Amino acid sequence: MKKWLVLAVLLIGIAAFSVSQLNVYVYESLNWIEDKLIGKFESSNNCKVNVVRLGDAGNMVARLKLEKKNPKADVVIGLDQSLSMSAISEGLLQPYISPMLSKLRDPNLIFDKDYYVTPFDYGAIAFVYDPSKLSKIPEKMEDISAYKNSLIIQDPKSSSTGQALLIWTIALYNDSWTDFWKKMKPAVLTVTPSWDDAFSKFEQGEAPIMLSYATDGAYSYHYYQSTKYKAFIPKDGAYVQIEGAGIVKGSKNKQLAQKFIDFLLSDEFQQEVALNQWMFPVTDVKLPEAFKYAVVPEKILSVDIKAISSQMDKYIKTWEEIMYK
Amino acid sequence: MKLSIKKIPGSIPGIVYVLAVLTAVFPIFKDFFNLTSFSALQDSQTMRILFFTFYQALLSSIASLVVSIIPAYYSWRKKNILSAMIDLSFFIPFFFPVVSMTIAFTALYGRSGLFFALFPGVSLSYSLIGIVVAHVFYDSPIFVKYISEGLRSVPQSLCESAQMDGASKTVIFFSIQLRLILPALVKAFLLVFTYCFMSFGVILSIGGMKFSTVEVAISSTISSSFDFSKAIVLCAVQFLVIFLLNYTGSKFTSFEGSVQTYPSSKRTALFTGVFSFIYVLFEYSLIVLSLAGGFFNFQASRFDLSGLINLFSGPVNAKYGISASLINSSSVSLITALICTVLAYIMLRVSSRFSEVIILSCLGISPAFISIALLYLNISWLVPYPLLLVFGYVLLNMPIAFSFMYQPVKAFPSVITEAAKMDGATSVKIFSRIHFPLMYRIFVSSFLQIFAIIFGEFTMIYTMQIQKTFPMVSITNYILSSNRMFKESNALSSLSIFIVISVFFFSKILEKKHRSLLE
Repeated sequence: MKKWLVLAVLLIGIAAFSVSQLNVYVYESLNWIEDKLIGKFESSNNCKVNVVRLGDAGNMVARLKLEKKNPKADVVIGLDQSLSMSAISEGLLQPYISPMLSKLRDPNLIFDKDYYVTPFDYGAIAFVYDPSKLSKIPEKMEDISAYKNSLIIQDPKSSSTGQALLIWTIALYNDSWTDFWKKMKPAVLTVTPSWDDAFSKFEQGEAPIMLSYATDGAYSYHYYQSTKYKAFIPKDGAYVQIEGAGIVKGSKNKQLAQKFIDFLLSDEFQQEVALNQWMFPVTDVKLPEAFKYAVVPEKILSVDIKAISSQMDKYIKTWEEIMYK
Repeated sequence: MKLSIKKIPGSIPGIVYVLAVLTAVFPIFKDFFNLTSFSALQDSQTMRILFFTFYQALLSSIASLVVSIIPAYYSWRKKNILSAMIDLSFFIPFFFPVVSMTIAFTALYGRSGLFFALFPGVSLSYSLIGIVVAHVFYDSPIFVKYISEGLRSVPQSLCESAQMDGASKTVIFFSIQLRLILPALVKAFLLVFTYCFMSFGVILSIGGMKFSTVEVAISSTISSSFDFSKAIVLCAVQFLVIFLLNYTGSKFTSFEGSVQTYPSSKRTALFTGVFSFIYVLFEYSLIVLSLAGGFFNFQASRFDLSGLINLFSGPVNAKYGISASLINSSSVSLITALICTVLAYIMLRVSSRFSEVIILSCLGISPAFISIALLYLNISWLVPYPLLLVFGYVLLNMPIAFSFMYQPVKAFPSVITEAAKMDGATSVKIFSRIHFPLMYRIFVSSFLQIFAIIFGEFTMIYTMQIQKTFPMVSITNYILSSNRMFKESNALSSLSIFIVISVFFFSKILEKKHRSLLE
């Protein structure tokens, strides 16, 4: 009898002191959340958060698909509009309407009207250039084609920025988007698999222009106290990439996962977005001084992301036919 | 009961190997494969990639062969520092990580590189020529090794008799030397072609996505299209090509002469010496540049150890797992290299032609796909990552160990083994008392080769994305570089090369001691 009593006390003790663990999948460059924010969430929710870094955003969806029968993740952070559509159509996420959504600075940021994905940052896609190597700054998208072998872009199949550019040009030129790419082809020095690879080549001085984000001027000012690199958004209209987070279907910690999604929209989290993620926060938190060097688009294109995403395989195939032949 | 591995049927190694591969891939195949994915083969894009993969592999293999002939000839004829450096270059393809090579290659031949500054407009990056040059850098040493050793094994008496009969040097070369080394040359060509066909890192970093090979397509199908079924079809195509090549290669029987060395150097033309010197410069310049990058700032032209110091500082070490990655990579490489060397030896002792073709064909297994298959084993049955890594690396590297040890183990005089058997020696005793001491050099070389390959391996661990649970050096280096910690990344790259070179150096000391013991 005594033995059973001791065992029961032990079990109750373990249960009382054990904390639930939330598994959060992020892409590699979102690793800053581990340094700055996870501890705060853990202490206020008496839990343990295990952040799993998985290369790029595509790797996250691939992992979720592999784990579909046996889900290990609770929350996934860093899906842009197009990847979100893929994850939703694969049945990898579950909907959640966060009460914090009311804090969004613009309701248009909710790109998924079924609430599988909650936005947490956004930023315009732009072309970054080295002013010392470019005599005249292109104004329109087509002007870039005048610079032979000068542009580094990313592959739309493997990179979210690469895919954003493709969507951007489809939105801009509609049916004649293929003509644009045929004209643009000689300007492209190389197509890299990811943004990191592209930036590394750009920083080494391999080309004067690269496809990146409008906030790169802010980054340059913050780290180098100079706008070594500048960004421009063609006057034709900007494409805004919105990144979101979702709760994984089959999550074993649904309530905690919901709290985490709410946390992403809290001031605590949003304040850190600008200087760490180099994107704009989705709520009205104060922006740091460096962000006055971020290019703000004059005109934002309206994009039917659901329609474009449903045809994405076809678009990519056509794009590859033009660019890789 | 006496242990005798000779009693094992010759087809068993091949069957065991196939079963091991099936164990890894069956679960993902069962859950994701769909027959309709074969329609991908009708896709013009897939056909373009397949054609380009073949074309660039053929071009790279021919270029590597052409470039290697003169250094191989020099290495055969001469005995000096230059020939020693040519011989040592054989290890370059196995120890020099693509990540490090790319940085050095861009610094020399890129649009921001030294050559572009000296000769404006001359850049090898983002072109087929760049890919071929990078493949020549990696693979020509394999040809050098096969050709020079082939020439060394041609009996001198045969050439001397022909000379006495009035045959010219050209006649001797074409009718005796070339004919005898041709089978070894074909094997080297197939090996180099296989490496170029499977190329991944060189293609992505030097060429770009435009020059995708089948292996790149497999990786992108997995991580970007999430179409595992299509990836399986692409893997099958890749495997089939390599299988057919190896089957063809198995038809060539090598001339099995013993390697002879000249007591002293023979004369060579000035052009041969100059060309060999340029070749050595080409091979070692990238390594020296990469090694120096860890402690020398080329932009500021001064020594800079801050990268190395930061690497082991508390925060960087804790965040990126630098020490852990060095320990993990060393342990996994050590264990796998040991297993591969021992298994390759056992398999070679008993294998039939069937097993040989099967095992060598597995050079065509896609590292990107095998890693996803292994990851799926972890997801389904919680098999620990270190175990999966060792298992995966054994599968991928067994064919390399097998091919490397093939000639010495197969050509080992059976008279000695038979005599020991008649004296009642068991297989273990034959190994420990006869084969191991007499083939010590080949065991150590094979071990080192596999150790170096795994230490710098990137594709598999990048696809598995297990950095958080089990960090490894090459992916840590990639992450440092992605996070723009270029100094730290260069320092880790130099450190990795230094570790591998130290292991090589240590093995040379052991080899020297062993030789003196035997004498």
